[in-house]
This record gives sequence, C-alpha cells and structure tokens, in this order.
Amino acid sequence: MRLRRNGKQIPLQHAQRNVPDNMPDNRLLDIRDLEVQFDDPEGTVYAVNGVDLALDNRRVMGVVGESGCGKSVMSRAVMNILDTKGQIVSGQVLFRSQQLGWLDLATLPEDGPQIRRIRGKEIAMIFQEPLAALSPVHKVGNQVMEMIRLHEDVTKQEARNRTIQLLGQVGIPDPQKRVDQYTYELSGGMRQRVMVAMAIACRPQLLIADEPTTALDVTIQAQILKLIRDLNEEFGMAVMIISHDLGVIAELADDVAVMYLGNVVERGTVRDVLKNPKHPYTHALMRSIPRAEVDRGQRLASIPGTVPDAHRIPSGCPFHPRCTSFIPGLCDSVVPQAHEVETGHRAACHLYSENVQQYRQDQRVVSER
Amino acid sequence: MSNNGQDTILKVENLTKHFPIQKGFLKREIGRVRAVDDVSLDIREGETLGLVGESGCGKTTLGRCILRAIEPTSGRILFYRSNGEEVDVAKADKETVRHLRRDMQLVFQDPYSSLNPRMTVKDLIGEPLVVNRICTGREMEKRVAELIRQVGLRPEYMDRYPHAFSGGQRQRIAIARSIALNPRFVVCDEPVSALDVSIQAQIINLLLDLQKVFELTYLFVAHDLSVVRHITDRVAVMYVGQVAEVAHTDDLFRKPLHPYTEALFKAVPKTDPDMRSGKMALAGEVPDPANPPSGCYFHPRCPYATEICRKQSPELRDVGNGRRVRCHHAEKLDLSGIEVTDVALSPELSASQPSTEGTSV
Amino acid sequence: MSNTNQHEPQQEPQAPEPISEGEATHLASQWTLMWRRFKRHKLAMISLGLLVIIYIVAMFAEFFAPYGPWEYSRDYVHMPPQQVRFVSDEGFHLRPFVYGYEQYRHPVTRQFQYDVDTDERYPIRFFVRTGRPYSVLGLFETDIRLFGVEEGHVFLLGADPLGRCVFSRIIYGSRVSTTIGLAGEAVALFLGLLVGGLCGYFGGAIDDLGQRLIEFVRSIPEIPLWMGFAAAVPRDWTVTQTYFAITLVLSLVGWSGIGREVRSKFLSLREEDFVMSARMIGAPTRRVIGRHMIPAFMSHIIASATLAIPGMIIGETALSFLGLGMRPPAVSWGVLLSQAQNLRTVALAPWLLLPGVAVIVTCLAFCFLGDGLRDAADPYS
Repeated sequence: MRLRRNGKQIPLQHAQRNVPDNMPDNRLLDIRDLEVQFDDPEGTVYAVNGVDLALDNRRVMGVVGESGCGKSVMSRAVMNILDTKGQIVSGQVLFRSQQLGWLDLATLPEDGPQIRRIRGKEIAMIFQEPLAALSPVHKVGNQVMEMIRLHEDVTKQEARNRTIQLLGQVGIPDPQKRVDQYTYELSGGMRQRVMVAMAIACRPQLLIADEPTTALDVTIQAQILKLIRDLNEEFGMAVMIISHDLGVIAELADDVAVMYLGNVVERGTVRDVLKNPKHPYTHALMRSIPRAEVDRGQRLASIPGTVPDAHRIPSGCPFHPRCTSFIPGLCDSVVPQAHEVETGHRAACHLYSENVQQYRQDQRVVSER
Repeated sequence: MSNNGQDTILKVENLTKHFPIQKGFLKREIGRVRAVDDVSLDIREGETLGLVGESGCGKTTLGRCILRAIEPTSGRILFYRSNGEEVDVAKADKETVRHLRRDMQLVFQDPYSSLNPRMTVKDLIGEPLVVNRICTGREMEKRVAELIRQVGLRPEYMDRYPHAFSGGQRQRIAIARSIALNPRFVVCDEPVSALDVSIQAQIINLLLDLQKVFELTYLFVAHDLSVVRHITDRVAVMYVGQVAEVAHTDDLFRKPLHPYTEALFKAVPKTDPDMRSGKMALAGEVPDPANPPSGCYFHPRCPYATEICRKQSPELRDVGNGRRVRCHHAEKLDLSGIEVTDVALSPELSASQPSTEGTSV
Repeated sequence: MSNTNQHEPQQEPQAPEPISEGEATHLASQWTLMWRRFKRHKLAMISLGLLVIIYIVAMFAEFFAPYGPWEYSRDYVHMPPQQVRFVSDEGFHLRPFVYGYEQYRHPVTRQFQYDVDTDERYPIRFFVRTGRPYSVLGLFETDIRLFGVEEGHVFLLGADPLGRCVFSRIIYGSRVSTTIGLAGEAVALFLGLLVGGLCGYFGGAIDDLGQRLIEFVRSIPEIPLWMGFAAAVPRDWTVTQTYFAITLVLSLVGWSGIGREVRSKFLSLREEDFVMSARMIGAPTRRVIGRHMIPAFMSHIIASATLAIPGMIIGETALSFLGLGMRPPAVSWGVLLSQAQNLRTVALAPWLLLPGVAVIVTCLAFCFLGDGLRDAADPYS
C-alpha cells in the first residue's frame, strides 16, 4: 500500500506534519476516519468505513465484533501490513513514536525504513494461530533472537541470554531447554507464549493481539490472558486486543470498541458498554450470545437476519436492516454520528441525537395527515 | 446409577478406546493413547446430556464410539430401541449397525465440510430417505420440503448447492439431513463452534425446537461452557479420557464438586467485567493421554491435591442428587461456581422496542 | 428447559437470501463452476480450441490432406516445399497458386535438385473433386478434398525420399499419434484407479503390496521399459494389432503416477466429514465410494491424466522413431521422423523434421490444457 496524494508518495516530513496540535499527553494511538478497501473478483470490499479510535498509554483497548466487521483489517492497517489484503484509502493513523515523535503511519511507505523501525520495536503484534506465525524450520530461540538483533545492537550471546530471560518471563518452564526446541515440540499454549515473547522482546509501547486465544483450550486461554494482563501492568505496555469473544474482552480490556460492518458503533469503558449497552447492536449481541453467567431457561434472542455482504454496505446506518429500533426515513438514509451518551461512552445511533424526538414527532404528524 | 430400563435410552458401560502408537517397520506397539478410559454414562430419553472438556479429553472420540463410527476397544454401549429391545452397539454386526443408524444420528461441527459440495440440498437431505428405501421421487421431494421448512429455510432453495448458503444456513441443512430418518438419539458434535457468535443463538434455538417436535435425545459435545449452560439438562465433565463429574446443569454451574470443573469455570471468560477471575488461573498443561499422571490424573494441577491423590486413582462415586464425582475429597471441598448476572436495558432502547421480542425484520 | 417468554416451538426468523450473487451460481453444479474458472485461463482456452481443431483434422484426414499417405512418385523425390503465391508476372491473382518445379540431377552430387518453373502455374482450387473416392468414418463415400490442384502438384511441406507429400502424411499421421495418447491414458487411468482405489480404500496389507508395486514400476527407467515391452510385440502383426499393443505398452508404464494420486486422494477423503456423514445415514460402501468419494477427486485426476498425455504421445513417437513402435506402412509422426534419422537426409531435406513440430505443438497444447484443468479442478477451495 502506498498512500498517494496526487500520485506522489509522501515522505517522512509530511507524515510528521499531518499531526494536529491538541493531542492529550497520554495519548499513544489515534485512528481518525480510517477507510480500508480491497478488491476481489466480486468487486470492492469496504472493510473499514470511517473508524475513529483512540488508545492511551498503559490502557487495554478491546475491539470486538463478529466476522466481517473489519476489526482484523483495521489492526493490520495500524502497522501497515495489509499487503494484498487491502489499501488504506483515506484517514490517519497517528502514533506517538519514541524515536520520531508523532507520525501518521498511514502515509509512510509500506516497507520503508521508518515503518520497519517501528514494527517490532514500538508496535508489536501477535496472531491467532501460532503454528502459522512461527517458522517450523527454525528453533524458537532463534526466532526470538532474530527480533532482538534486528532492532538492537547486541551480540549473539547477549541476545540469547535476553531470550532465555524473556521465555521465563512469559511463563515457559525450563527456558534453557526450550530455547533450542523447534515449534512442533511445543504445545499450543507454549507456542503462543513464544509469540508473546517475540512481541515484547524489544519492549514495545503497543501490543496488538489479534484473536490470540481463539485456538486455545479454555484453561490455557486463561493463562495467556493473565500473561497479557500482567505484562500490561508490569511494563506499562498498551494493548489492543481484538476478539469476537465478549468474555475475553471483559476479562482483559479497560476500554472497548464494538465494530459492525467496518464502523465503530459503540465505544467506552468495558463496564459501561457491556453492562449498560446503548447501541441496539451491542444490546442485541449481549442478548443473543450464550453466556456462562446467565441462567438456563432464558431463550436466546437471536438477531434477525445475517451480516450483509461487505461489497454492499447498507445505506445510512449499516445495522438498520436488522435493528428493532429502526426509524424509517432516518436510519436508512443518514449515517449516524457518534453521540456522547455519558462521559467517555459513545454510541453511533440516531436514538441519542438531540433531534430524534423532534423527528419522531414530525413523522407522526405526517402520517396522521 | 440406578434407573429403570424404561427411562434410559443409552447406557455406556466401561467403554474404552485406545489408539496404539506404532513405531518401526514391523509396527511394534510402544504405547497407547488412552482416548477414552473406562467411561460409564447413562442418558435418559428426551434429555440433553452435555459432554464437556478441553482438547484431548476424549469427548469427540466417545461420541463417535457410541455411534460406532469408530471401533471401541472394549466395553458395552447399550441402546434401547423403541420396542424396549436392548442392543449392544459395540458388538453389533454390520447389518444391525445399519439398522441402528435410523435411530442414532450425528450432527457435525463444521458445516463447510460435512455437506458434500457436489450434491444439491434436495439430494443431501433426501439421501437418507433414498438409501434406506423409505421413499423416492415426488414423495421424497415432499418430505424434503417439509424438513427444509422445519429447519427454518425455504423449500424453493432445494435445487441449490451448499456453496450458495452461509455457515448458519448450511448447519441447518446438515441438521435437516440428520433428522430426516426421524432418529431418537442425536449426537451433536460441537454443532455451533464453527459458527459466528450471533448465529449460534439461532442454531441453538433450532435444536431446542426440534427436540420438542421430534422428541429427541441429545448428547451435546462441546468445549464452550456458555453454550452448554443454555442447552443441557445434565453435564458430564471429561478430563484425559475419564469422566470427572456428572450432575444436573444448574447444580453443576452453581456448585461444582470436582476441582477441575471449578478451574474450568474460573477460566471461562465472563462477559461481566465485575466478575473477573483475578489471579487464579490454572497452571500447567493438559496431560498427554498417552502418558497420564499417576493416581488422579488431575493431581499435578489441582490446588487441593494431597498425598493420596498422587498414589491412588479415585473412582467415579455417587454422591447423591444424581451427582457423581471422581475425587477423593469431593465431600470436603467447598468449590465456587458461576454466579448469575444480566444486562441492563437503556431507557432509550426500551422506549423504541416493539412489544414482542425477537421479531424478524 | 422452560422457555419463559415463548410459546411452542416457533419458526426462527426466516433465513434470508443466500450469500452468493446471482441464481446462476446457486444452481451451478461443480462442472459449471469448473468451466467458469477454466474460462479465465486464456492459454488453456486457446489450447482447447487448438486441440479440437487437431482432432477434427485427424478424424477427417482424407478431407484435409490433398494426397493419400502412400501416393509416391519418382518425379518428386525430396522436393522442397512449394510456396503459395498470389502475385505472378501477370500481376495479382485472387486465387492462390503454386509454381511447379523442374527436376534435374546435380552434376556433382547426383542428387535430385529442383528449380522453380514459372511457366508451370497451378492454381489451387478448394473443395475439389479428385476422382479418388474415400470413405468418411465408414459411413459414406465421397471424393471431395479441402484443396488441391487440377494438374501438377501442390506439396505445401515438400516431399519425402519416396516423393510422398509430407503435409498429407503429417495429417494422416495425426490419426495415430493423437489417439494413441488418449487411448493409452484411458487404459492407464483405469489401471491407476483400480490399484490406487484398492490401496487407498482398504489400506493395510493390500496398501503395502500396491505401493511396492507402484514403486517398483516407477523405479525402472521409462525408455528401456518401453523398449523392452515393444520389442516383445511380434513383427508380423498388422497395423491395428500393433496399435493396440503399443497402447498397452504405454499404459503399463504410465499408470503408476495416476495410481499414486488416486491412492492419496482416497486416503485423505476417507477422513472427510461428508464421507463419514454418508456412512452415518446408512449408505452402503459402494455408494460411499461411487457417489461421494470418486466425484470429489475426479476433476483432479482428469487434470493429472491430461498432463500425462504428452508423455504418451512422446512415448509413441520415440518408439516409432526407433523402429520399435508403429512401423511402415503405418503412418504416425514417429514413423515420419524415423526417416529423418541420419544427418545427411536432414541436411538435404530439413522439412522432414516438420512432424516434430506437430508433436511439440500438440504436447504443448495438452500441457496448457492440463494446467487450466488443474487450476479449475477444485472450484470449492
């Protein structure tokens, strides 16, 4: 991906110039109006459509949504590892780099030296399937060492010592033995820990975890989530955790953003959003998923319909075809803004706009005539 | 374990399935994977028994053994036909097993691989009818249309191929195929694990509805405890090929008796942030079924383990209230389950809700 | 399982429209889907068209060839190809024509040489009645050929040492060369399906035996094996008998590749969910294999078989070239090439190598076709 304005690639100075002035002190990452699309044989897929997301230092942000909501694409857009999977069409990914100050990552050349300095060193990522992310032909120790030696000027022995230390920090027993083992010799939980070790090897400011525990057993999942929590608390590393599992988000995150069809429909602290959801989708989702802490006998109220095809996003609010609070004439034509429902809690729904009452009244008058 | 023969539809007695580990040119056996290790269970007619556990616990293997999809190593699987006749599925000959297939069916986990992509929906749902010589031609089409309607799809779609449908719809087709023969007993092997979260509810509701209409008995194999809480009447928790605990679902979730069950409940991420599990994650790895620990298989990871747990393997004991536990200390421990909570409805949302819930748009 | 707020089993909200676009995709069988994917492979489409043309020419060889395969004459020994012209001394002609050649002996080498004789102009006519009737596919007789000259001769690709038209002989030769590849592969396919199927489905000792057999066959070098089998074919057999014998030789050597592939497909399909589902609903073994397993891998196997056909064509060509396969009076490209074995002949009459071009073109066409089939083979992946 290259962001071109008038056909020319934008160099670093421009990337630094794009940043607005009034950034809060503890803000680390600010995604503004991000749009990502890609093409497939059936047409253009609108994966991310105007996402606003802000992440502060030392906080854990959860991004939750079903498949097709664009959360994975968005996470890859942050580090610009979309490759053939997409293009950033517009928007900004503002990141406070320790080395280079505030930067718009979206404008940096895809494989240029600047973004490669940031990847791994300042922003790291772990994925869902460690078996696919780790090399089968290299020892796990060597893979972690590669990460260290890419970014820091250390000898091989120093890197090895750091690696053994890291493996211990992520909870791998007997790290001196494990450092020389191959990926296939480790269990699923161990492999995921190795990935975490690789990710934190250079003490990044931000860790992006894309469904890190989906492939794991529930007790191992709990271990990994606890590990991430501990790393966040001990090292002050900010975390963006992406999952379709609301339970994982509730366990780990401080803040949460709910996504649907490429939009953030609700944002706020995890307590506000999950215990007191304001957006109809969030509410319907909470009602429709089976939850271990809800009694039997309550029939699951499934959300009617299915997620529409991302080639054809519905007009107005993307959720309107399935929404039980649908207001005809408004929800299907006007894209809702994110309204601040309470402090720090935002929902992109017309129900919370000031003029919805007026609109409803107008409608009633019209139909009565 | 006492129950009269009329209520029970299936009785598993000391079922064992070992997979030999072979090495070398002459295939010498150097070990065995004890996938299912001396399991005994009862399933009553009309109930839904949940079978939960993590990977390697043997729940899938157990389900497949019961249906004779794989050959058990030893033990009995007693199935009670509608006329009361008792059949040992484990030892039945091929002809009998084919006849039993009408009564016992399987719903697969992955709707993308369990439907032959080269057959139309009509052929897929009608195949059981054709193969068992129940009906063909127009009669078959009518039955298929009826089944399609019962799983919530439109009969006009029956000439389409599976690739035209989404995951949830495919699973409906697969379910229609399983109930085509009007079975009495259905093993559901993780039927919603491969589906999107919001679709899971639809399929779970469908399974519950069908159970009422067709008077089905379910063996519900799952790893997702949340789903299990919703759909099952009783639950059996498995660990490394053995049954750790059996109880009624409500009892189990409110108050487990086996430390592993408690650990599972603690590990399940809850959607209520106030219920975070805190620092007590279960340590260690799931043991290798080819080389399980001595004594009680759970003792290396059990926070309550004592000397006897290391030396002696506990039996699956009846502790009253229809509960059975495999633990030396079951009566003495005071374990915690999962509390119940709920989601608030914002005033703006409730003002705009129509009067009936779950209406289709 | 009490449902607090619902009445008796209710219909779930109707599942909405399926996801794919267009009725056509929903109702499309696997062959339709395969065809659509195949169409995108331009080279494969062109190759398919080319092969169709080649086989039509082979079927109606008598029509397309201006001369019979054995029509010889001393007057045309080693005659070079005649150029088709439109312009003569008299100007432009709409009807193409060729100039005759005047034969003479080179004073020193005593070889036959040819000079263009502009006095002899032979206009080429199309759909000529030649007076030499032939039977079309054994159904009816006619004597019309695509093109020819009323007097003189038209040798588009020159003549061979016996004065026979190379162009016509290549066309007649295509009959044997192109069909022997198909026939050989068909038999190899049958053998491979049989052995591979038995191995893959039953496993155990049968599998071990079958695999050792496959490995044994594959470990012997191909050309000596062909030669060994072919040498066993009696010399006095008729053309037809030799044809079938060579087909058998080729397939006995070539089945092992298909056999291995079929075996591995069976092994992997045995574990597939939909195969287990078929067994679960009570389908007998023959239905599980015939209705579920075989259709699942047939397209892959056909793609592999298509890719193996060039090997068979080259095999027959090589054997005939060496004199071990088809022999005169049979006409195949290999037989034609056997006349180009020595360097002197090739230096004198290089157009005798043109049957090789025919082999290359046909083999390439099959390769690209097989490539396209392989890409289209699994429309569900």
